[in-house]
Amino acid sequence: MSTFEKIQNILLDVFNNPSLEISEETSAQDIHEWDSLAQINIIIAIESEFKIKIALGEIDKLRNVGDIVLLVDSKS
Amino acid sequence: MLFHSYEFILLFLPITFAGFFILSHFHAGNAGKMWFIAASLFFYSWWDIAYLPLLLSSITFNFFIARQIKQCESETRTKKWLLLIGISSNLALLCYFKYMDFFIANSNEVFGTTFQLMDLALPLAISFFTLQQIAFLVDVYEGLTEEKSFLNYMLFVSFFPQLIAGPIVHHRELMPQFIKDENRFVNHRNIAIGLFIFSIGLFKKIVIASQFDTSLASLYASYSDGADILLLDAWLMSVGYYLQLYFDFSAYSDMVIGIGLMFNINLPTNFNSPLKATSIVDFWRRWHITLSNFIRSYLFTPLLRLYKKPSFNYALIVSFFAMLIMGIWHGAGWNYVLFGTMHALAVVVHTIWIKFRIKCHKYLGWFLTFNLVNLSLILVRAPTLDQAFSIMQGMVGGVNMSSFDQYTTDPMHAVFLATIVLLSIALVLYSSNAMELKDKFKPNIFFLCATVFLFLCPLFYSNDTTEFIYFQF
Repeated sequence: MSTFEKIQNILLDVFNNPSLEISEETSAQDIHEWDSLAQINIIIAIESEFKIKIALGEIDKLRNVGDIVLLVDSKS
Repeated sequence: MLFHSYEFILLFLPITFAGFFILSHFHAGNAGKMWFIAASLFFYSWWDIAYLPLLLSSITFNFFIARQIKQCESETRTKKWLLLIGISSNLALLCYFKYMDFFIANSNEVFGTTFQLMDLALPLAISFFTLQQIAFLVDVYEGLTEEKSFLNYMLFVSFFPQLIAGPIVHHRELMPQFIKDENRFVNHRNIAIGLFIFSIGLFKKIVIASQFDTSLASLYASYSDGADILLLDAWLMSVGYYLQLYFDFSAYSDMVIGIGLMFNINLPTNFNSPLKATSIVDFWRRWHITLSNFIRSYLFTPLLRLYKKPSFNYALIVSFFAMLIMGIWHGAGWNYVLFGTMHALAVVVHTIWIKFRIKCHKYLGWFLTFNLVNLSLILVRAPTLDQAFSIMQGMVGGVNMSSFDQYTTDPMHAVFLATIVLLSIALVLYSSNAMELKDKFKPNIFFLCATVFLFLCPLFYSNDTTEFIYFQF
């Protein structure tokens, strides 16, 4: 599974909605439930899945799914 | 020094601009930076040079702590302690100047102590350079950035466009721009766009915000005897102030970005038409964006992450606390505590609605958000809590429908104020904001004329030199 696909699964899980359309351009604006709390749950899940650590200062810069993929790949 | 004053526009800015570009054009080293730092410190001292040592000490201390943190090999205890000392020292300084008298007064009231009030003036910009440096310390700790040069660090903190009232900028966003070689040279396009955005801000401050200020001053004064506030007057006092603050802060944010651009520096957007917000969370992602980001990144997130699997209820508590802190950051006083509490409750309610998928139509969301913000800002503007509640009472007050002067003490004035209120709201909702115009900018006659018009209007309109409201926070 690619990084993007793993992240996609995490998002579908966090939002508890298997029918969501997620692409690299998907951002918090596109998903109503993607608030600060969801953001943290996503980060926690990603850190656990990929065995990486994301800094506080890095979380806010993640504008869309594509940014998350880039960040994860840069740390793996 | 105020961006909209003659001394800034006609003397300080051109001189700083000329000096910086002449020096950095011919010399790739530190001459340009030193000139900029000198100008920034002069800019800060213009308000009161007695506080310059405070700013310099804060900068020196934080630079030193950051170097020590960087020198730690890994996640040692020393490193954690250094960060803790750094953050708490910054916060202690801020709390001392900002909240000491509030604590003393309340202690005297509640515990019967008899401490003397210290009557401390709030040093200009302390609320901002404190947060900016705390963010820097955390970023250094996490390995996201570092600064070896004291000169560079001083430039980062004291950079005059954002020194006094933000935006709160990250070192890793600002520093690379100072170092970039092509930014040493005058860029005509940047100057043109910078002037255009600056002029928009100037117009907003002098023509719009000041108009509200003068109109409201007389209205508030007319009720200073504590009489019951009439319905229309109460609504004008609240919505009028909301719009005054709105245009004041919007103006400041525009002028900062405009000035930064003239120097080839891109500063972050701090204001994005918050009047269009359809929820309280949307509002805080548009109003004082860098403050919300700071609270979210460096307070909300670490608190939430104290637990491996933060429960929803815990998240609500943290959200409430973070928003309360955001409110209290604005000032020391029970009005600010109440202000923060209102926003905190609104965010909690919003989070619950999201969780339980309760749908709220966009227009209803807009309406609720507008009214909540409007109501909460009365607490900021009214001279006393009593008058704040008086205004709120007036807003829902009983009315005698038979005559117009049951609504207002001064019908002519009320109609005038109501008109500019409605026009301002329409302007925000139906036209592009400054950042959107920035993207549409083309170096043509239209934009040139617009810039000249926006720039000259204030000159003929009034010679207002009141401070930006955000300087007081």
